[in-house]
Amino acid sequence: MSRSTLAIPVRVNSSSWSDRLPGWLLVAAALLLCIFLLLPIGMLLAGSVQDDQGQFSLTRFGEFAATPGMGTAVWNTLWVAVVVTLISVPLAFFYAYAIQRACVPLRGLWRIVGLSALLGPSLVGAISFIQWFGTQGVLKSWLGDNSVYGPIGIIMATVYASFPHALMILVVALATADGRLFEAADALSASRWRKFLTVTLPAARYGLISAALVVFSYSVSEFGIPKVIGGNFQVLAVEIYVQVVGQQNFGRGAVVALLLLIPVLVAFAVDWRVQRRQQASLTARAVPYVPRPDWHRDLPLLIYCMLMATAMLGVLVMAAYTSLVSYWPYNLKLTANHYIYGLAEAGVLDAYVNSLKLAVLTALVGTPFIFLTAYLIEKTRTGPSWLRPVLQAMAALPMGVPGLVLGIGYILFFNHPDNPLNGLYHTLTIMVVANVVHYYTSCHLTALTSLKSIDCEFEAVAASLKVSQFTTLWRVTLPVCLPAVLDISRYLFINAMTTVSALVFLYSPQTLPASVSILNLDEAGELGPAAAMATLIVLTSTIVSLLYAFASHFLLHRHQAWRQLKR
Amino acid sequence: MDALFTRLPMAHLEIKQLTKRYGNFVALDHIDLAVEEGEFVVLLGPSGCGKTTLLRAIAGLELQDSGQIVHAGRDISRLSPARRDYGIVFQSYALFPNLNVGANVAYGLNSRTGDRRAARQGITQRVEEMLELVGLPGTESKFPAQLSGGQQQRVALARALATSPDLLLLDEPLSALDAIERVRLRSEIRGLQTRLGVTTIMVTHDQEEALAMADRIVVMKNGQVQQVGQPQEIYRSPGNDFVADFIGRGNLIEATPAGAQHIRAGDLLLRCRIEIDQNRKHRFYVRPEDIRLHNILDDCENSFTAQVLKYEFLGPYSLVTLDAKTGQSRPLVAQFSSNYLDGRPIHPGSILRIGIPAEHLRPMPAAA
Repeated sequence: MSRSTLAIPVRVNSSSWSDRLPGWLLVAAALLLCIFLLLPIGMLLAGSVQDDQGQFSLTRFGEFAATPGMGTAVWNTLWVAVVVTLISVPLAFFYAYAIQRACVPLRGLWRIVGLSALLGPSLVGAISFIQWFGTQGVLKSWLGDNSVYGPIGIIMATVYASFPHALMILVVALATADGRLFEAADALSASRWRKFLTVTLPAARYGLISAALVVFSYSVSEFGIPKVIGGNFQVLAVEIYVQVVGQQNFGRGAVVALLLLIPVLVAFAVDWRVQRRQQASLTARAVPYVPRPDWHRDLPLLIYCMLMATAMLGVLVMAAYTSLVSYWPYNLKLTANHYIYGLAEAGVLDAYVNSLKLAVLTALVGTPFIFLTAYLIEKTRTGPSWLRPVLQAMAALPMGVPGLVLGIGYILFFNHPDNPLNGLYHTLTIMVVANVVHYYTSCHLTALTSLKSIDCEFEAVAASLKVSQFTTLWRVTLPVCLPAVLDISRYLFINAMTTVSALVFLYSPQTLPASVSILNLDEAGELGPAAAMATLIVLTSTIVSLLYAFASHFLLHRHQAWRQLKR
Repeated sequence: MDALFTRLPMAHLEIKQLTKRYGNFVALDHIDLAVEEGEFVVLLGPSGCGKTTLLRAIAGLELQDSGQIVHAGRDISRLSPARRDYGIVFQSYALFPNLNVGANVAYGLNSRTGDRRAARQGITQRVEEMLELVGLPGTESKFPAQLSGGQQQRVALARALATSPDLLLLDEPLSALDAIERVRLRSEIRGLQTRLGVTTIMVTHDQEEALAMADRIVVMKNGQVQQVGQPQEIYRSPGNDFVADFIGRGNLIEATPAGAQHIRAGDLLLRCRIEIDQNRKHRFYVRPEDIRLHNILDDCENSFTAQVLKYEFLGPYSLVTLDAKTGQSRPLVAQFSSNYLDGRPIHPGSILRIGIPAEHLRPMPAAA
C-alpha cells in the first residue's frame, strides 16, 4: 500500500492452476506447430543450401539450373497454371452467379454437383479424362489431332479438380449483396450489363482475386494429375517426385520444392494483402439483395448449370464405369472383377483400410487440436501476449505450403538420423500429423470465424460468476460452435481420404493409403483397379458426407432446439 | 497496524491513481475515485473518454499500467476477474444462447458442495427468487432468443445478482434497447438497486440516463475525471466548459465587470448574485430553460429585447434561437415549455422581451 508500489507496472497475480492452464496449453500448441510445421519447412530451406557434406553452398541451385529440361518444366508449370486459372475461375464465377444471384430451380442440387469433385482424389479426373478422350476414348474425335496425354489433359483435369475450390470462394463472395445498390441502379435505368459491371463485379472482386490465386496455387502444386495424364510433359511437381522417390535425391528435391513454394507463397501473400484492404461491403443498414425471376437471365444460366453438372457427373460416372467394365474398350461386359481380383485378391484393399484409419484419426486428432488452439488464441488472455500473433501466423502458413513441399520437409526432418522423433517416419502417426498440418488453415479459419461470432463477453461473465473458463468452454462455447466443429471434422476426413501430395513421401508398404495406391496402380497400367479404388474413395466420401449431414441435422434439430427459436 | 485503523474510514471501493495506456493513447490518466457502500455511481462521458476502460479495470478485464483498486478493504488491483467479487451486465446481454433462462441465472450458483439434492433445490429456489425480482417469474424454460431485448437484459441482471455479489457493474446496459423499454428498465434497475442496497457502478454515454439514475455522476473526458457530483450539482453548476457542454444545453456569456454586482455583455447590463472582481473578464453560464419570456412592455430587472432567428417546436417544449446583442459569437438559445407558451405563436423575425434572472447567471471558471 505504500506510495512506491503505485508506480510499478502491475501483473496479474493468478496463483490457481486453472488461471494459468490456458497459457501453458497455448505454449504447448505453439511448440507442436513449431515441430511439425516450422522445423520441417526450415529443414527444407536449410537442405537446399547445403552440399552433400552438410556445408553451406549454393551448388544444388547450380546443379538444378544445369539439369536439362528444368527450364522447360518451370515454364510449363507456369503457363499451364495461368491457363487453368483463366478457364476455371470464370466457369466457377458464372456457376456461383447462377446459384446465388438468379432464380434458377434446384439451386441446392447444382451446388452439390458443383462441389462433387472434392469427394475423390484429383486423380479421378485424370483417369476419367483418359477414358473419355484418350487413345481409346469415346470422345477422342473432339480433340481433333491433339493427344489428351500432355498439356490438354492436365488442363482439363486440373480445371475439373480446382473448380470446387474456386466455387466455394465465389459462392461466399456472391452470397450477400446490398439490394439498395441494385435499386439505385434500376432507378437510374442502368442496363443489365451495366449493373453487372458496376455493381456485381466490383463487390465480388476480392472473391475473384482469392479464387484465382487459390486455383493458380493448386495447379502449380498439383502432382497426381500430370503424373497420370501428363505423358512426357514436364512440370515441377512431377520433377520433385522423380527426384525424391525415383532417385532418392532429397537435396535436389528440396531445391525444386523451394521453387514450388515461392510462387505459391507469393500468391498467398498477395491475397493476404488484398483481403486486408477489403472493407466491409455490407454495412448494418444494407438490405439483402433478393433476385427476382427473369427468364432472360435465368434460362441461359439454367442451361449453363445443366451443361456443367452433366460434364462433372460425366467425369465421376466414367470413373465408376471404368471400374466395372471387364476390359476397356474391347469387352464392355459389366463385372466386379476389378474390385475382387484387382483390389481384394491383390492385397491392395489394405490400402483402403489404411485410408479409412487415416481419415478417422485425422478427424479425431485434428478437430480438437485445431478448435482448442483457435479457442486459446481467441478467448483466453493468459500466457505470453506475443504468442498469439505468432500462432495466428503459423496457422495461416500451411495454406501457402503445397503438400509436396510439406512432405519433403517431413522426410528431411523426420528421416534425419539425429532427430529423436526419427521413429515416427513411415508410421501412420506421421501421416495423420501431416494431414492435420496440411489442411490446418481452412479449419483454423472456420473455428476462428465461429468463435468470433460468439459474444466476446461470455468469458468475462463466467469469470464474474466464478465459473472456470473450461466449464464455459464445455457448457456454452462448444455447443454453440458445434456446426463449425462438425464442418472441420468432415473437411479433415474427406481430405485425408483423398489427398495424395504429402503422403506420397511418407507412407511405408504397411501404411500405403488408398489415394496413393491409385497412383501406383496407374503406373503399373492397371487402370481398372485404379478406377475401382477411386470409386471406392468417392463412395466413402459421399457416404460420410451424407452421414454428417444427417448427424448435424439430428444434433441441431433435436438437441439444439434453441437455434430455431423465434420469439 | 494501528496507524491503518486510526486513519479515516476507507470508502467501499477506492481507486487510486489508476493509469492505463494503449501505446500513446492514454485511456485512464491517474484516476482517483471513491465509491461508498450502497451508492449508485454513473460514469458518464463521450466515447473514448475511458469510462468503459475504468469499469473493465474494476472488473479485472483490463489490466491497469499502474495504480490501485481497493474493494472492501482488500487490494484487488492484481487479482484475476474470478477472484474479485462483482456481478456484471453488458450492453450485449451476453446471455448463453444454448442455455435456458433458468440455467443462465443458475450459471454462477455452485451445486458441488454438500448434499446434492438440497443444493439443487436451493438453486431452483434462488433462480425463482431472482426471476421474481426482475419481474420475469416462470420464464425458466425459455431460451434467450425467445425473449425481447428488455427481457434478456432483465435475465442478465438476475444472473449477475444471483450470487449476491458485493458490487454490481453495468456496462451501458440500456444502450441496445428501444427508447420506451430503456426508460422503463432504467427505473426498474434503480428501484432494484435501492431495494438490494448493492453498490453499483454504471457506464453510459446518455446524460439523461445518468441524471435519472445516479446518486453521483462521474463525468469523464480523455481519461480524466472532469467532475464528480450529484446529478443536480452537475447540471446546475458544471465545473468546466466540457461538463457544461456535455450535459444539457447552455449559453456561455463572456462579460466585463460593470459594477460591484453588475456585468456588461455586449449591449446588455446584467446584475448577478456574486461579487465581481473588477480586474478581469468573467464567464457566466445560462441554461436555456432559465431564460424567462416577459410581456414586451414589462421592463423588469435583467430583461431585454431580442429578435427571433429560429423557432423549433419539439412537442413538450420549443427551442428559440435569439439575437439579443449579447456580444457573443453564438446566438442565445432559450427553451420555453409548451404549457408556458400556452399556444402563443413565436415567428422568426418577431421581437420578444426576455430576461435572465440574476440567480441563474452561474459563474464559470476562466477558460483553460
